[in-house]
Amino acid sequence: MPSEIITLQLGQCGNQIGMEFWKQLCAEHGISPEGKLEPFAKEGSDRKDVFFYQADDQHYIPRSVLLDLEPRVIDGILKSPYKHLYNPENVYISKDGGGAGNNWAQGYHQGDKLTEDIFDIIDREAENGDSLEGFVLCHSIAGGTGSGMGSNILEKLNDRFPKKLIQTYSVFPMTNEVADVVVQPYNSVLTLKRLTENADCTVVLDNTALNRIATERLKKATPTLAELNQLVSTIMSGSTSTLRYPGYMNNDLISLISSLIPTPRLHFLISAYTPLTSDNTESEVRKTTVLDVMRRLLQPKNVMVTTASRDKNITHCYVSILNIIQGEVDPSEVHKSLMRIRERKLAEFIPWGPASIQVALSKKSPYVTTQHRVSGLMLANHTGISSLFDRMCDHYDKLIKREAFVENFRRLPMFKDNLDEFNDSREVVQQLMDEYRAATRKDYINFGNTQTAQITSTDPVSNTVDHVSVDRSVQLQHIIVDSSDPCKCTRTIKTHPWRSLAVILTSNVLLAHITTTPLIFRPRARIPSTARTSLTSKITTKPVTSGA
Amino acid sequence: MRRLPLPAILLRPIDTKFKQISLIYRGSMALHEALIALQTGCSGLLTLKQDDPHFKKRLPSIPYVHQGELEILDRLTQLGRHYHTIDEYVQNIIKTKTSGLYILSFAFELRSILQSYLQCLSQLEHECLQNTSLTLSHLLISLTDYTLLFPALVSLINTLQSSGYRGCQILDVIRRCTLDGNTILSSTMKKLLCAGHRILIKQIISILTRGQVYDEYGEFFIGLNNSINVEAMGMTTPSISRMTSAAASRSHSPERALMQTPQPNSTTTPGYNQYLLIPEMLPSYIPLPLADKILFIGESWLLLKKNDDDDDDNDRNTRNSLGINSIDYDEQNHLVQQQLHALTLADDLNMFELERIIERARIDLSLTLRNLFVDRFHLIDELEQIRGFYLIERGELYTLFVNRTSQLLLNTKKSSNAIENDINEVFKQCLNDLHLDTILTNSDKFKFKLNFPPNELANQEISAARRLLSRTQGSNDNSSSPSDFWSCGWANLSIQYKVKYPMKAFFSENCKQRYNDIFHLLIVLRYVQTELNSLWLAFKNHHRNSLVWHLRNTMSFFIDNFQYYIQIDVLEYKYQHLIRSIQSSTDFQQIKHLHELFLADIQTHSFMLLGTAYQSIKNILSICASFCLTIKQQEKKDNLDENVLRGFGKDFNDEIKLLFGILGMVQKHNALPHLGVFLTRLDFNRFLTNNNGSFGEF
Repeated sequence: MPSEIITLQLGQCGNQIGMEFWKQLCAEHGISPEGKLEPFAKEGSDRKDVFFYQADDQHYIPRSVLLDLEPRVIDGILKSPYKHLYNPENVYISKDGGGAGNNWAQGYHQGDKLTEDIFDIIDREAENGDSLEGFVLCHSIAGGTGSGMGSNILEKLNDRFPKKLIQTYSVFPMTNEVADVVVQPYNSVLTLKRLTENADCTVVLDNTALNRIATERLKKATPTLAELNQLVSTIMSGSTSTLRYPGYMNNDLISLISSLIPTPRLHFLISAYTPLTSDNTESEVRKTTVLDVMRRLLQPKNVMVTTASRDKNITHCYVSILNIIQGEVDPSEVHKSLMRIRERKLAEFIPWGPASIQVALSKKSPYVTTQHRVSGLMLANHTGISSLFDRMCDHYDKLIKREAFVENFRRLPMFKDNLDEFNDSREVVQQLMDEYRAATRKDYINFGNTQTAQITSTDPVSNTVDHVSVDRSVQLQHIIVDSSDPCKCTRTIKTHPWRSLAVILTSNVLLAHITTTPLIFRPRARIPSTARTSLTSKITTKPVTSGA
Repeated sequence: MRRLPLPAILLRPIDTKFKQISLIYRGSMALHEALIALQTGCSGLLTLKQDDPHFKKRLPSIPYVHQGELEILDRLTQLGRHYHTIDEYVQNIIKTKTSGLYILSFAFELRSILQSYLQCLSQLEHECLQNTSLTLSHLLISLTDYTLLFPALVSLINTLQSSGYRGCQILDVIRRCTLDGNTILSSTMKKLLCAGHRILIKQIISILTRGQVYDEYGEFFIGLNNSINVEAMGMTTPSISRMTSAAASRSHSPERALMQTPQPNSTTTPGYNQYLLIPEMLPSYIPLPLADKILFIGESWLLLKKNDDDDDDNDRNTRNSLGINSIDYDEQNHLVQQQLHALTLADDLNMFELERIIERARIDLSLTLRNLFVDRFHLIDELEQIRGFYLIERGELYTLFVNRTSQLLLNTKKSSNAIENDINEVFKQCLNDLHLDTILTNSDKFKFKLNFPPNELANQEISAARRLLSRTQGSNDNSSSPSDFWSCGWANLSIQYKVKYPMKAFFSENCKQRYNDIFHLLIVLRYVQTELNSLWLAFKNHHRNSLVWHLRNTMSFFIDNFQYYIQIDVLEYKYQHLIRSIQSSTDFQQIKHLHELFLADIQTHSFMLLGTAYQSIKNILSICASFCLTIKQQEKKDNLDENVLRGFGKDFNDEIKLLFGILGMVQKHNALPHLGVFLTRLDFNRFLTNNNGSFGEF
C-alpha cells in the first residue's frame, strides 16, 4: 500500500473540516459510515488505500488522527453516525480538556507537553503503511489549538520526517471585520512563520472568501459553518482526486505539489472550485464545458482566497496553475480551452520562467451523482496571496504597537523573557511577502544571492559602506529597516545611497552582515532584537552626506 | 500420351518414303516432303545428308523444284522446327512434373494447340492424297495461323525458360503476350492465360473457402511465413528497430520477402499469421489491395480453424464454438466457389467480378471476425490491458514501480536472468500492493515480463555512435556523460507480451515492437520525472541555492508538459478515438488497420520518426537524469559546484533550443496537428518566445 497520506485534524476547525472531508471520501468510495464497503460499490478501479486502511474485519479505517485540547467537537463526531469509522486509538483529547483559550502560546505550550502522546499515535500510524508519502494537516490559524499546537506539531513533524511531504489545509480568519478572537492576528502571524518554514505546501482557505462564495454562489444570506466546511471538504477531496482515481499522471502528492511550487518558500496555494452546488439550491450553472470550467476557475470571485490583483504598484501574477478536471473529458477540449485562455490573456503569468496551466484529468466517483458533466478544481500559486498576508500584518502591527493583549502570551515560557518570537515571526512573514512580490519581477531568479555584486560594484554604495563603518567597532552588524517598495529601491540607488543600501537589503534579505566591503548576505540569521532596533534608528536618522 | 491419329505418312519408315517418293509425281512428292518438314522441322529429301537426323541445311537449289517453292518449303520447315521445339518443351514439362502447376497447365494448353496443329496437318495430308494438284502454297495458306502463332509461342517459351519465372509470375509474361493486335495470336494467348488462371482461381478458392494454401511448388503469391519463429524469439535488437519498425510495417521489406522460401511440404498446419504476401509472385494486373484481402481472408480462416501450439481448456472451448461458426459458412463458401468457377469459364479473367466476389467474401468474414473479437474475445478489454501495461495508463502502478526499482535498474548495465526475475517480482508486488490484480487481470495469464535486450554489442555501437554524434554537435559531455544513461537498465527496459491464440491476429510482432518503442519513451519519461520530484523532496528544507531549484523547476516543467502531451493529448486522445471506431466499425480488417494507424500516429506525434528531434529529446532526458544523479551525489557533500550546475543548465538549454528549432520547422509545415498544442503549452506565458527559445539563463 504505497504513498499513504496521514491526515491530522487539529482543533475545532480542523476536526470539523476533517469530518466533512471523510464524509465526502466515504461517499465517493462507497464506504458506509461504519466503514463497510457498500454493496453497490463494486467498481474497484479507485484507490482507497491512500487514505484508508483495512482492519482485520475488512472495515475501512481512515488514516486520520484527531487531536484537540477540548472535547466538544470530537465528542460531536463520536456521537455522529460516523463514530465507528475512526480508529479510537487515533482520537486524542487533552486530559485537562480546558482548550487553548484561543491563545497560540497556550496551544503551542500544551502541544509541547503532549508531544510524546501525540507522536506515539503519529509514529504508529506512519509505520502502519508501506511507504508513507506525507501528512495532511487541517487546522485554522486563528484559534489556539489549531494554530498553536499545529505550529508545534509542524516543527516536530518536519524534524522527525524530513523526507515526507507536509501539506496543510489552513483556514485563514476573516480580515475585513472585527474578529471574534481578539488575538487572532497574533495567532495568525505566529502560525504563518511555521507554515512558511515547516510546511511544504499550504492550501490557503480564506474564511472571508469562503463566506463570500457561500453567499454569492450558493445564494445563502448567512452561510452556516457546516456549509463553509462543506466547501472546504470539496476542495480537499477534489485536490486529492487524482490520487484516489488514478489516471496517467499526477498520482502521487509530490507530482501535484512539485509542479506548483517552484521555490520552497512560495508554497501558499489558492484554490477554486466550480460548479458549486449545495443540497437545497439549484445551481445557476447549467452548462459545463471544459472551457467554461477553466474560465470560471480563473475568475477571482470563484477563488477561495480574497486577493488583490494589484497592490502597491505591483501587478500580481500566477506562478503556476494546476487544474484538476473531473468527469468525462475529451482531451482535445482541454487544449482548445488552453488556447482560448491564452488568446484572451485570462491569466497573467510570471515573467521569470516558463509557466502554464497544467491540467490533470480525473475520473468522477461512480457513486456520487452530480448534475454536471464536468467539474473543475484549481490549485494555483499566485503572488497576490501576499496581499492577504499584508492585511493580516496590518492588523498585527496595530495590535503589537500597543502591545495589546500580550499579557496572556507573557504567561507562557516562550514569551516569558521577551517578545522576540513575535518580531521574528513578523520578519519571516515580511520576507515571505517580499519574496512573493519579488516573484512578480523578471529578476526573481537572482532573488536572494546575486545582488551583492550590484551593490559592491557601484560607487555610492561603497561610500555607504564606509559611512556605516562608524559602527564597525561591532564586528558583525545587522541592519534592518522596515520594508519599502522593492521597486523603488532600484530607482533610489543613485540619489540616496544611504537609504538605497538599506532598502536593497530589505528587498533581498532582511538581515545582512556588514563587515567590510564586499557585503556578505546571510539570510535569516537570528539576531538579538536590541542590537537591531538601535541600529535601525541610527540608520534612519543619519543624514545623507556622501557626494555620489 | 499422344492419342490423336497421326498423319499416315509419319508412320512409314524413311526408306519406304524414298521408294514411294521416287514413284510419285514430283509435285506430290514436294507436298509430302513439306508435310514431313512441317512435323519434324527437317525437309527430308531435299537435303544432302539424309542420314543425319539433325541436318539443317537444304540444298541451295534443286533442279526440278522452283526457287519459289523452295522458299515456301523453307518457311514450312521453319514452322516444323517451331513445332518441334514446342513439342519438346511440352514433353519435357509433362515428363518432369517438377516445374509447377502453372507451367504444367501452360504445357497442357500448349499441347492442345499442337494437337490442333497436327489435326490440321492430317487434314492437309488427306487433301493432298485426294487432290494431287494441290500446290505448296495451299499448305502455306492453310497454315498461316500457325506461322504467326508458333514463333510467338517459341519466343514466349524462351522467355519463360531464360528468365526462370515460375508460378504466378508466368501469368504476367503470358498476359503481356495477349496484348497483341493480331486476334488469333491474342486469343490463343488468352487461352494459355486462362489455363494459368484456372490454377490461380483454384488456389484462391482454396484459400478463400478453407484458408489453405494449396501450393506444392511455391507458386502462389501467398506463402507461409517462415520468419515468424525468428521474430517470436523476441527482441531482435529493439534499439535498432526502434526507429525503423514503423516504417517496416508499411512496406514489406525486401529482406523479409527474401527470407521467405516456399514450403515444399503443404501438409504443415500453419498457426495464425503465418501467411505472407510475396510481392514478387503477384501478377501485376492483380492489385495489391486485392491480394491483401485474399491474404486477410486466408488468415481469418486460419484463425477460425487452426489450433495454436499452446492451448488450454479455455481455448478449446472457444475453438468449438468457432467450429460451429465455420459450418454456417459452408453455404456461403459454396456460393463463392461457384462464382469463382464461373469466372474461369470465360475467356478473359474478369477482374472486376473477381474483386467483387472477394470483397463480398471479405466483408462477410470481416464482420464475423469483428463480432467475434469485439464481443466474444473482448478486444477492447484486451486493449485496456495493453494500455495499462504498455501505455502506462495506471500511472500509480508505474510510479510505485519506478520508485522501487530506480536504483536497481540504474545500476544494471547488462541483462541477466536474476535481475529480470527481480524486476518481475517487484512488479508483481506492486500490482498486489495496489490491488490492481482485479483490473490488470492479464498480468499472469499473459506472462507479463520485463526484458533487457540481449544484444549488448549493438548497444555499445549505438552509444558509441551517439557519442560521436554529440561530439560533432559540439556539446561537451559532462563528467557523467549523458550517453551513459542510455546504456543503463531504464533505457533498455521493455515488455514481452505473450499473446494467446486469437489475439495474435490483432497484435503482430511488429505491433508489439512498436508498443515497446512507445513504452521505452514513456518509462524513461516517468523515471526522469520521479527523479526530479525526489530532488524536490531532497531540497525542500534547503531554502537556498536557488539555481538548483530553478534548473529543477524548468526541467520538470518541460518533462511534465511533454508527458502530458504524449499521454493525454496524443495517447489518450487517439486511444479514445480508436475505441470509438472499433465500436462503430463492422469490419475486422478495418479495425486492424485503425490499430496500425493508431500506433503510427502515436509514434509520429511523439517525434519517434523524426530522427533529430527524437535524438534531442533523448539528450534532454539524459541531461535531466544525470543532473539528478549528480545533485544527489553532491548533496551528501553539501557543497554544490556551481559550475557543474551551470554546465547542466547550458546543455539543457542548448538541447531545448535545438529541439524547438526543429519543432518550429515542423510546425511551419503543419505536419503534426497536435504539435501546436505542445508548443503552446510550453510557451504559455510566451517565455520561450521572449527568450529566443531558451528556458532562461543558468
